[in-house]
Amino acid sequence: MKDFYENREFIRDEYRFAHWDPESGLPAEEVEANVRKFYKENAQMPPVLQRAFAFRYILENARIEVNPHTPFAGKIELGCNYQNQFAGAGYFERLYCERYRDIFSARLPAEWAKRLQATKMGISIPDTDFWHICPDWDRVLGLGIRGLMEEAEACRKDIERRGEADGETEYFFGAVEICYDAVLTLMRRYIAAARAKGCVEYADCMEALTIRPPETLFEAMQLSLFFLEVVEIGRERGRTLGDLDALYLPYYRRDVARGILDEAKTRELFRYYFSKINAGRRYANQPVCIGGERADGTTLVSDLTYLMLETYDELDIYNPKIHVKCDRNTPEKLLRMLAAMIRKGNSSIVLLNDESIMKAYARIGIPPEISYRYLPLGCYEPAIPGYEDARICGGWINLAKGVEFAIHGGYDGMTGELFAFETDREPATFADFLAIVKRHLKSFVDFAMHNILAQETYAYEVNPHPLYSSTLSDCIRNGRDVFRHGMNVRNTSLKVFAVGTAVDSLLAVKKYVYEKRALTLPALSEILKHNWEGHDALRAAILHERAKWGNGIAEADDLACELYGYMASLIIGTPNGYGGVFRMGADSVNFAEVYGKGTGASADGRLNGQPLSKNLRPVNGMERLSVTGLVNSASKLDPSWFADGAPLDILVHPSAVQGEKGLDALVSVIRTYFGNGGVSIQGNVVDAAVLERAAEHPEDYQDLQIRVCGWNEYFVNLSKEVQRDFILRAKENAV
Amino acid sequence: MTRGVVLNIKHFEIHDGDGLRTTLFLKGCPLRCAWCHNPESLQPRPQLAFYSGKCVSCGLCAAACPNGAHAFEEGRHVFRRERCVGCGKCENACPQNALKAFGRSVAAEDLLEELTADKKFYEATGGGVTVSGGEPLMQADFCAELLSLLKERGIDTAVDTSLYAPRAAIDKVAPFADVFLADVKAFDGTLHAACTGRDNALILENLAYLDGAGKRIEVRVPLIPTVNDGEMEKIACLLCGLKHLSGVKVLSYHRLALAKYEALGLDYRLPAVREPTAEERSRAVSAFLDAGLPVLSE
Repeated sequence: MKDFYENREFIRDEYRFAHWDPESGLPAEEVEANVRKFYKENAQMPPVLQRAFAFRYILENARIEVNPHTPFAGKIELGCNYQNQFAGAGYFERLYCERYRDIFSARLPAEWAKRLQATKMGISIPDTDFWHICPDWDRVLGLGIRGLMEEAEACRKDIERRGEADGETEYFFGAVEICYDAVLTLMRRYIAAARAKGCVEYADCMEALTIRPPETLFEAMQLSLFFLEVVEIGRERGRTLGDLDALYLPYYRRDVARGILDEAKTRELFRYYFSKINAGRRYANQPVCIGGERADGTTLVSDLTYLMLETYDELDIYNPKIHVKCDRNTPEKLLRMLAAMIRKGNSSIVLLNDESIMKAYARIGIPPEISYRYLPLGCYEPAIPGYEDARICGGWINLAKGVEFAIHGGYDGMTGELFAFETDREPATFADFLAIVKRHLKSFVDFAMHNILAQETYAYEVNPHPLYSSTLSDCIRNGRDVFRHGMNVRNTSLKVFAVGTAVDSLLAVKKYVYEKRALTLPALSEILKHNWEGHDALRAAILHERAKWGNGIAEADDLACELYGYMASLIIGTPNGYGGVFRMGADSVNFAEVYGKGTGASADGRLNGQPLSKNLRPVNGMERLSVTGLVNSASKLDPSWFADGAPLDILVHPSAVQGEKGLDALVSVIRTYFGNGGVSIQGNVVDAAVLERAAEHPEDYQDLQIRVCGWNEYFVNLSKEVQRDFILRAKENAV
Repeated sequence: MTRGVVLNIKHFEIHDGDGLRTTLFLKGCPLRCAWCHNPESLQPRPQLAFYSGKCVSCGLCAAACPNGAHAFEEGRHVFRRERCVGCGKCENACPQNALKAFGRSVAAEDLLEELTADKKFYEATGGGVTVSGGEPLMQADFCAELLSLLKERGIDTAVDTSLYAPRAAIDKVAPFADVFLADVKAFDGTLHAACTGRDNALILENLAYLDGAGKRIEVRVPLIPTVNDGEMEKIACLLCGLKHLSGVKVLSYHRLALAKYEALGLDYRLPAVREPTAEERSRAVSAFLDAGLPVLSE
């Protein structure tokens, strides 16, 4: 194979510009039509078998392409749109999304209607979360395709021997068998196509993987990418490829010892590997993990970790995203390397603090000797692969909505509808007001929990996943699909977010209604219903208040702790009704905008439908004391609340972190935050796009500073010409 | 308890001394450097900046102002600067953030909470608090009291100064300053007077005095093309005589402050000067390196 950089142009966008071999199978539209016909004609078939047969049909008949420019050559056509940053849903994914909507709305009309109302109002969108899955990569690589099949078969026999077999276990194991049959068929199709094109290296590798587990690093990497491809044919996404440096290290060491690989060849392999992931445009960037520690506390960071990171950095791509498990022993060298990547503009790096996450797991009864193995799944959420069926996105709860309902006597500020119950419109004290906020928040939690459990009743019917389940020992030992509660530990997460908007709104009510008595609560309610119209002076005064979340100010931070502490008491450890408990998280991802649309004008000065505060961030423009103030505030939250993660996004202009001192500063932020119990941190450097937004919407970027020695000024106050100059410079740096 | 006039507090700062720092800007300066990039710091009294580009003529400032400094003539905002006392009432009423009051009177003790909030970061990076300006030595009593309070709390302190100050002011502050970040803007006294309004004899005396007293000094040299770029070798030569010089930083002239001048109703005195090129900067840096001085990155 030629040098990677000679091949790169044929790999960079190989999904977008795929050359599906017309001889190799049927076009996507035809496969889709046949799959839909199959579901219609076999409506009475057990859903797990439906899925297995449809899966097999796709793997046998969809068109494929073998790309001779990469050693990870095979790919299958699934009808996805690859034109945008992230690939759009393929036909099988769309079909399963429709099933979800159709079955839930038909079987649970009341719950479905309530869910629609809660969605519209930006309260909560409860979900079973079929999306985030986490195959047990240790088993996948350790056993290989044959081994996984054989273990499933052995478990089936055990269950039969114990006399515990029933129709359901038979269907499940039958489905698993069909899936592996399909997987092997696809592998053979890839091999035949590769041989025809002279791609010997790839064909030999895949051939070996049809009969035994991977023995070399190349085979292990190949199996990772191949299994990810097949396990994601449907609605689910393998939201981590595992702790790569630990997973691949034994193969790497053995290959080097045998003389099969050297450092240069290994780098070349990772260039192809990361490029394949990048070209696939996996939604929200494909997560991979590095770092962490062994059971004895020694670090898993090795020369392979650095080699992988350097290669990734060299490619200048943001997909995959890199999760880094950190602890007290994480080497300075690694943190500096990551800080430098963040400073260069890579916003796909998330650092997690093992110590805090293990504390949070302990709180839901999972001890450190198990939880140290957790992996970040998806954006930032911990899950213990192979041990915990963690539905990391069971739903979001909008804290700001609780404040909104309390101001309007229980009614929605924009639609005027009642969601749960009426409450006192003129509570006597701020404490009474806060108690009402909590009553509403509790009603949101009750609603979300009830709705999730109701949906869960139909989860297996909607969306069984025998192939994924077969990687999980519990599932095959129990003879149950993961969505039929095949795992012994089954937890669900509720994420509580918009803390910035909620706290700042509470402070405004406290100060203006109860302390200054500048207006009554009903008067404030009227002002907010009219979107602050005619009350610019009051709104400006509130926006200028000093006490805001995210600036290390006790008054604000105490309220944040009170809100999260209350939500923790409702959520953490509460049985989820299907054999596990609820966990709490604090991320909003892009739902800060989605839920913001349904959230009326808020007392902090926010207007109708504007975005809410994101993750643990302050309200836009209110980070007045910079990163350290935010870290000081976030450090006050109890890390044991957040088994589902609590990302802190830091945002700085590159000028604030330039030079070696700038790296020291970034590393000190990570170490100081983690040393004080921080859960996770994501670094973002202001780029041209952010500066352009700031120039256009100065109100959201009041706090953005460009740093020059001894200089005192904010970006939004610069002249338009100077702003343009900074935007131009940022663009040049990005090129 | 003395009170000081404070401009701003900047957190997470790497440019103003060792490690990660919090910089406190004080108001008032005896010099009038033509290139000054913090013109809001010159006058000791509070001042209002009016960013006219952001104003939508809503009139809320006029309603908030007790002195009639804001008026609206034919729908246009007219700011009568002479009536303004810089109280900041209009700033809080302005929905567009078009008004900003610079300068508030604060007791040293009341600044401690905010200045010590980042202590964990100072400890992790060898950082601390930098008092800057304006010219902090113009408020020497306040500055000394604040620094002594910080030292009592084990915090590293730096004073960013022009050194244009009476010896008594230096003697008050020096015991509580771990390092002085001192400007040397020109060697030639006439040139110095021409572009800063004051002769530099006092500055150079104070520099020697601090060095003689064993104080650690970091020297900052602004590089202003066509103004002081011919001074670098001479300044380097002067600095070679210091025993406690920890480093030299060449600060490139920049034009970022123009909008502040406009907002404060001040004239910018260097309209024709441009920012130094990379080559000019490296030539200036070489002057110090060639003299064997430790040059710090900007």
